[in-house]
Amino acid sequence: MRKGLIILGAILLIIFLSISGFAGAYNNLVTAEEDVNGKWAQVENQLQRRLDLIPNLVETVKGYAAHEKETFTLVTEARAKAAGAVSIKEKAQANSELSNALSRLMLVVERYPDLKANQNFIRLQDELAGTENRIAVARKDYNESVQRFNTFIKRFPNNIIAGIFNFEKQEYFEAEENAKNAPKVKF
Amino acid sequence: MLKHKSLKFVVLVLLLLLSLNAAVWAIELPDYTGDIYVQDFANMVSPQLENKIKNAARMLEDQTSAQISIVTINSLEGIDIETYANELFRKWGLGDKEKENGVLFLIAKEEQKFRIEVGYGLEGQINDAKAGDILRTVVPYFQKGDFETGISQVFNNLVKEISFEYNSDQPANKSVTPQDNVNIPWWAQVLILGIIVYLAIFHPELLMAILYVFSRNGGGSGGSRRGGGGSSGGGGASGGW
Repeated sequence: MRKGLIILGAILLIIFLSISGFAGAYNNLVTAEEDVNGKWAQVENQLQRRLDLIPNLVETVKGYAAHEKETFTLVTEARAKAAGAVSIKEKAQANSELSNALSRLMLVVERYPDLKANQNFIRLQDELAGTENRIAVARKDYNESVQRFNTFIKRFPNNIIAGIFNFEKQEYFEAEENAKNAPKVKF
Repeated sequence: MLKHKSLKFVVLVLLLLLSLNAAVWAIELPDYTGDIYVQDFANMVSPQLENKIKNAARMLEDQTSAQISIVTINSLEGIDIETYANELFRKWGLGDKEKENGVLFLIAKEEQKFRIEVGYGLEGQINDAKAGDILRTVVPYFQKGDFETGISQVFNNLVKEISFEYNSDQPANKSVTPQDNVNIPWWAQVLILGIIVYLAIFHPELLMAILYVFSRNGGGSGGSRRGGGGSSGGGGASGGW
């Protein structure tokens, strides 16, 4: 009788421990996933901020360099594409193209000293440079968070719980090589 | 024996890989000593100005919890100033943890570049264009080599913006006002002096140890101001002279 009670107690203890262990692991997974989502929201914020800046920038440049139509079209199209991108991969691709188009625009600007001296334009350039930098920081934070998450769900026993509750590997916001040509505005 | 040798080899290779990794990836960021407000690694600020700024910055933090840190470094060591500033900002944790209201003014002497990095919480008041304006107005001073005027102007402008943000009165940033002046009675002063003299004569090693501890901790609560755990997302502006 006594022995039976002890065995029962031991079994209950084991069940309790494993449940609380699994619950803890599950909660950790949720936290890690929330972190990834939060960091991604930050990336999207900054990308949107850049999209909002562009029309104003293009208008200002147009005032001084009206016949550079090709470059304006390039930027406007790249912007539209970036705005319409849905998946993470599409967004990464479209935004790196937009960075290229913008650096093209900045090259054009070099030929117009009056524009470069324009106060409004100088401040827009600050905003653009700041936003590019924010995108870089947000992307780095996001990718680090994804890396943590992806390593985390591979570990035991997280991998079992991830399998049961459908936690999937998260996608990196990959910076294309040419995204590094983003216009770094220097004075 | 052979097994032993190969194991040694593996360990060696691993160590080598690790050290290579560290060499490639680690950015050597300095630590701060004393009050976080001025960290003059490149010796561009006189002790007088440093004290004035520290006092004003301390007052600002007491009133608004915002932290301004002015950092001069000799070289960026090949890193771009945006990355350097952001990593340093986060390592030191400038500004309040909840309000994220820190501002870093980083000056790289060799590269002749500077940057204002703004914490999340102050991005609204000090937007990128405003940060750029603040930098542009001091370019002539830096070009002349008059770093003192340049740095104090940047500092004053940052104080002004932060005061607007918190609607507080602008601290008189040019006047030195002794703040945390603790009044120690004369007999305590004599006693402390006596103990120090006694230690210096009979237990110099103990005195050194005490001094070391004090210099590291900044002497407890009344000591140096540390970062509040704030962060930055890369807002601000860069420039050069």
